[in-house]
Amino acid sequence: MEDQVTFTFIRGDIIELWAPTLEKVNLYAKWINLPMARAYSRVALPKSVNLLKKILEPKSDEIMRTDIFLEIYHRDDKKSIGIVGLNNIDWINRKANISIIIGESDYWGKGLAIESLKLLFSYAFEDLNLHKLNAIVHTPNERSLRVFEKLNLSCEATLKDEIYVDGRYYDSKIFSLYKKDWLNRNKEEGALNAR
Amino acid sequence: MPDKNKYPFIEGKNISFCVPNLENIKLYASWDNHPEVRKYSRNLFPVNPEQYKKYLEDGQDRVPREIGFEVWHNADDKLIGFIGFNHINWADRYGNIGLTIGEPKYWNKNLGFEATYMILEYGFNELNLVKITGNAYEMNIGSWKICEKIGMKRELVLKKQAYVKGKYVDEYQYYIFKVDWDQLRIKIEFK
Repeated sequence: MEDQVTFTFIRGDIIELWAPTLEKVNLYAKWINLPMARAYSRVALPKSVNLLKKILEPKSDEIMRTDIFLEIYHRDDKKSIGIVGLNNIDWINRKANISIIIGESDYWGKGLAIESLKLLFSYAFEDLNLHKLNAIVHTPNERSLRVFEKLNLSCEATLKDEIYVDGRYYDSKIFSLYKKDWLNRNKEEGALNAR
Repeated sequence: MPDKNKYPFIEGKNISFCVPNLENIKLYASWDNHPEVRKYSRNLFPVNPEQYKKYLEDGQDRVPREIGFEVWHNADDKLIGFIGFNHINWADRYGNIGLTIGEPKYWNKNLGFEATYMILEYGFNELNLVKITGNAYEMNIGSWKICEKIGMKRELVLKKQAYVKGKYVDEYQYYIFKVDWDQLRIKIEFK
C-alpha cells in the first residue's frame, strides 16, 4: 500500500512540486473555485472540472507549451496542498506570468507559498531559460502582496481600478523578477552560507 | 487589385518571405515529390497536399516548434520555394534552418544565399534565438557551400548517415551564434 507512485518534479525542503495528474482534477477544481482563494485571483467565473481536464489533456509535441502547472506537495504530511504555475509563457520575449494557490487553508501563513515560488523561479530561469517573470497582484490581497515583497520582487506598475471584487474596484500591481537578479541573489546567498 | 494570394512578411532585394497559404498546398507537395528536388532534401516518401493542410491548420496561434514561409521571386512574382525553422527549441534558444527552392530553374542564382541571410536575421533579431544550425548532405553541395559562404561553421560530420542512390553519404551540420552573426552581417551585400 505504501508503494505509491509519485510524480516528484522538483524537490524542496518542506515541499515538492509534482506533475499534475488527471486523477486529481476534482481536487484542483476545488482549490481554484474556493471562495476564499478565488476572490483575489480574478476567478469570477466558475472553472468546471471539464475545463481543467481539457487543460491537463496530453498536448501535441508540435506545440510549445504556454501554460505549466505543478502541484504543491507537503513532504512530511504526504499531502497535496495547492497549485503553482507559469501562465501565458511567451517564448520569444522569454517571459511568463506566475500564479499560485494554496488550496488547503490549514497550510496558510506557514511560508509555503514562498518556498513554492522559489522552486518555481529556479525552474523558470535555470531550466526554461526565461528572462522575466511577472506576478499580477490585486491590492486587497494583502497576503500575496506580502509574499512578493518578501521575495524581493520589484513593483513595476500599478493598474488603477483593474479588478472588481465584492462590489467595488481595486488596483492591481505588477511585480517583476529578472533572471540576472535571481542568479545574482542566489550567488550572494550561496556565498553567505558558505562562510 | 490583389492579383495573387501572396502575403509578404519579410521583404528582401530579390526574394520575399510570405505567409504559407492553404491555396498553395498543391505546389508545396509537388516540390516535395519532384525527383530532382527531393534528391537533395532526401524526401523518401510520397507527399500529398493534405499533409500540408494538416500542418497549416495545427497550432495557428500558439508558439510552434516549426515556422515556415513561402519564398517568392520578386521580379518574376513567382512562388519558388519554402523556408523556415524546424525543431525550434525555445528554452535552449536554437533553431535549425530548412530551405527548399522547389523550382530547379531558380537554382544557382544566389537566391538560397539571400534566403539564408534573411532567415538568420529573422531568427536572431525577431525570434531571439542565440544559435542557428543547418544540415546538408554531402552531395547537396549547393546547400553547404551557402552555409560556408555566409560564415557558418561545420560542427558535425555524421559519417555515412544517409543512403542516397545506392551509396552511403555523410551529413554535415553547420552552426552560427548571434554574436558572430552581428559581426558578419554588415559585410554582406546583394547584387
